[in-house]
Order: sequence, then structure tokens, then C-alpha cells
Amino acid sequence: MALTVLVVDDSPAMRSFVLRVIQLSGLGIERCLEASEGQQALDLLKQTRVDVILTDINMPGMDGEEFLERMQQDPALRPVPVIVISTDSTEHRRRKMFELGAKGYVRKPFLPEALREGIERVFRSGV
Amino acid sequence: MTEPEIRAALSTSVEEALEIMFFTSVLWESEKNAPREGDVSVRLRFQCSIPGVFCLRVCPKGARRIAANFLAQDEEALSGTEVSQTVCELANMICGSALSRLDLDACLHLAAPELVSPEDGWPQGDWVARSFHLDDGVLTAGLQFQQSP
Repeated sequence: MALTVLVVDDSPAMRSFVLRVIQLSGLGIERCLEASEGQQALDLLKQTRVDVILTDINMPGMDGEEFLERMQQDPALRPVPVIVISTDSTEHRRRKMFELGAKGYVRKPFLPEALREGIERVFRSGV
Repeated sequence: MTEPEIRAALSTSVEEALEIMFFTSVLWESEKNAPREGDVSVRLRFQCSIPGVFCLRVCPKGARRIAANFLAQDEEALSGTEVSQTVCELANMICGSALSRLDLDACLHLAAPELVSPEDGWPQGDWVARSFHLDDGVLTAGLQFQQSP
């Protein structure tokens, strides 16, 4: 099945890196979309069905926390799995993002395999 | 939090980020080097239990190599913007990683990295900073907390 992924990050370099890892992952991801902050991502999600979202936390405009909160408030978006990619590996932050509905958390820096495994885990768990 | 702990967090975070995502090894580490003309220099303010500033500067050749590795492109094909954006991302990664290691017991809020002048961009005052020597030059990273740790 061809999948669509949305990468939300204010860093163009990071988006480029993540998209390359995804395209080389062999996970059957056919379409990659990009947004530089939460509101832009929400606007995209109104128009396009997405199978998994990878998001940063610290972004100008709408940050990752508010983005997750807004997704949880929308019944149409709530089922879409979100994996957080962040340099913040504190337990405090991880717990908070899972409470807000994240299904995975990948700490930067990461090996490509870690991101691939994070996406696979989300799909395996059937969320 | 002591100065040796901050130094150790910086060293581990620089080496880990460079090796894992930028495919670059640190050859050796030294006291902070003086800035040089043409260095790509980035400043990033952060908020956590103790707020402060993180700075990173990379020599031009090293910055170009790091960007080429990260973006999987030829060095010659890269624009100055792509090099700067990659150094900004590296700063974000090292800063977040180092602060997480220091266990400051609060969510981190990192501002967007900003390009600054290598000579004037680093605020005055006490810094914990180290230089990391690469195949293609030197990278210097430093942390300054608003309260003395």
C-alpha cells in the first residue's frame, strides 16, 4: 500500500534529511509532504489524507505541542499517528508529548534505522 | 551542575551529532579557538530551568563538508544558504542534546538559531566552550547560562 507522510520542521535542512531517510527506507512511502510549523501542517491536513506525521517540537509559529493538542481536538485528525523527532530527550518532555497523543518519539541525533523502526512500530501497532 | 559536567555534555553531544548524522569524526578537542574571518557562526537562545545561550562556529571548509554530508550533495553544488541552514540544524541538535544530558529537570524551549558575526555574535562574559578539530578545520561550541551553574 502506498503511504503518505507529512514532515513538520522549521529547518529545511532537517526536512531534507528526514525525507531522504524515508524515501530510502523501503517502507512503501510514496508521497512526502512538508510543513515548516504546526498551522501550515493543519492547513495541509485539511486538504490531504496522511498516514503518518513526523514533527519537531520547537518551531516558530505553532509549535509541536500545540499542533498535537489541535490534532487531538479534531475527530478527523485524532487517528493519524504522530511521531515526535526532537533533540529534547528529557523524560519530562517525552511524557508530555505522549500525553498529548504522540505515538512515537525519536531523539535527535538518530540513525536512519531508528526513524525507520519508529515508523514501522507505529504501523505494526495499528494506530 | 559544574563546569566539568557542562564540558562533558558539550563534548559528548558534539561528537555524537557529528558522527551519527553528519558523518564527521572529531580528531581531537582543545580549549576554545579564536574566531576567524569567514567562520559560519550561529547563536541560539534557550529557556529551561536555567536560561541561557548556545553558540556554534565552524570554519568555512568544515561547514561546507558537514552540509554536504548531511544533505548528501557535492560540496561544490551547495549554496551558502544550504550551508548556513545545516550549521543552524547542527547547533539545534548539539544544544538540545547537551541540555538534555545536563538533566535540568524542565522542558527545553529552543529559539530558532540565528546567524551572527563570528567576532561579535558570542555574548561577553563567562563561557564554557570547547573547540573540536575535524579533518576540514575546527568547530567551536559554547554554552553560557544566565545564572552561574
